[in-house]
Amino acid sequence: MKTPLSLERFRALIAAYGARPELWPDAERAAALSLRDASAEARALFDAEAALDATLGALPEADVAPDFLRRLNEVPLRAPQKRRWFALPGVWIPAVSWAFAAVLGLGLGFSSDLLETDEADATRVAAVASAAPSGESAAAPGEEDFGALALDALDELEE
Amino acid sequence: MSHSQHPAEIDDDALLVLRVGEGDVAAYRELVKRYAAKLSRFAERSLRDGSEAEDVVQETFLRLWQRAGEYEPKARVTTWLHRITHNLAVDRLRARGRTLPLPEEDEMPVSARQPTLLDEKRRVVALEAALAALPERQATAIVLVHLHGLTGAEAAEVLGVGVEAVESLLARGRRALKSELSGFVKAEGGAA
Repeated sequence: MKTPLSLERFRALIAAYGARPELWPDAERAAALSLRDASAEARALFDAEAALDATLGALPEADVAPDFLRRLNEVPLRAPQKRRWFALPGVWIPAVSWAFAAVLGLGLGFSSDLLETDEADATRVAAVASAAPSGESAAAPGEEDFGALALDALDELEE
Repeated sequence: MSHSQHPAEIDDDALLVLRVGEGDVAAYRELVKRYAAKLSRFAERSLRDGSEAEDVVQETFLRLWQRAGEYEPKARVTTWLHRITHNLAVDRLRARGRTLPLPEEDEMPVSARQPTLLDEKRRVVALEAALAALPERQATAIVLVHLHGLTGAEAAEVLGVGVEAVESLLARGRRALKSELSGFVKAEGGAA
């Protein structure tokens, strides 16, 4: 429910904003319109201001000189933007790329330690295999089995 | 009282400013198209010097371009830009070490005192002269509200004063204009 407006406040509104209800404060517009429609005195105050509003409305939009307009339009060509670094799309892409590369590098680092361990194991196995006796000499059956096992282990590693 | 915007009610101007913040030159130029004339008139009204007014407007648009990323749509773009322009103009006036002088009575254009020819062009000239004759803050308030359509609260934000002070400036400014333009205003009133 709107609060009634006093004639004094209506007079002050009209004196400041004129007979243009769209300029009146939102909170008072409905009450002011009601008073204008209900009071002959308020209506007279409203009508007295309308002429000045019409005169003000006759003032055309100012022109902007073409040269000045061109200078304004060229501002972006002459001045870099001051932007917050975290708002820059050009920062995020390299940052994410570097972070990804770092994680990948760490991962590979750990993997290469494991590979080195496997290679050391393989070297040891190969050494054992090469230490096994050749076919010319008589070998104990257990020793032949050991050599075959070593070769199988090498094959598995290669796979 | 501030005239703030709800995030869901961001208007077209605010969207343009957000795009400018992302480096969109076309959005910047659209805002130049919309506001260059208004801000020029506003600055010229304050400074009464066309060259300085151009400098101030150019600085305003430079700030728009460089700082659009800092804009928060709490206030309308028109309020934000008028406020930047107003502050820059005030800085210039302070640097000059003076406030705006009022024209002497004998410097006032004849058209402002004797508006007997009621053609459109003379009426506009008379209004311009009458506005120029107003004290700076009254003229600024009149331009903001009656020519550029800001609300009283928005004008108060631009000028850094309360709404009551703006209403007082507006009322005194309108009273002075009516006095200066009495011939035209009576003619308008009679024709209405």
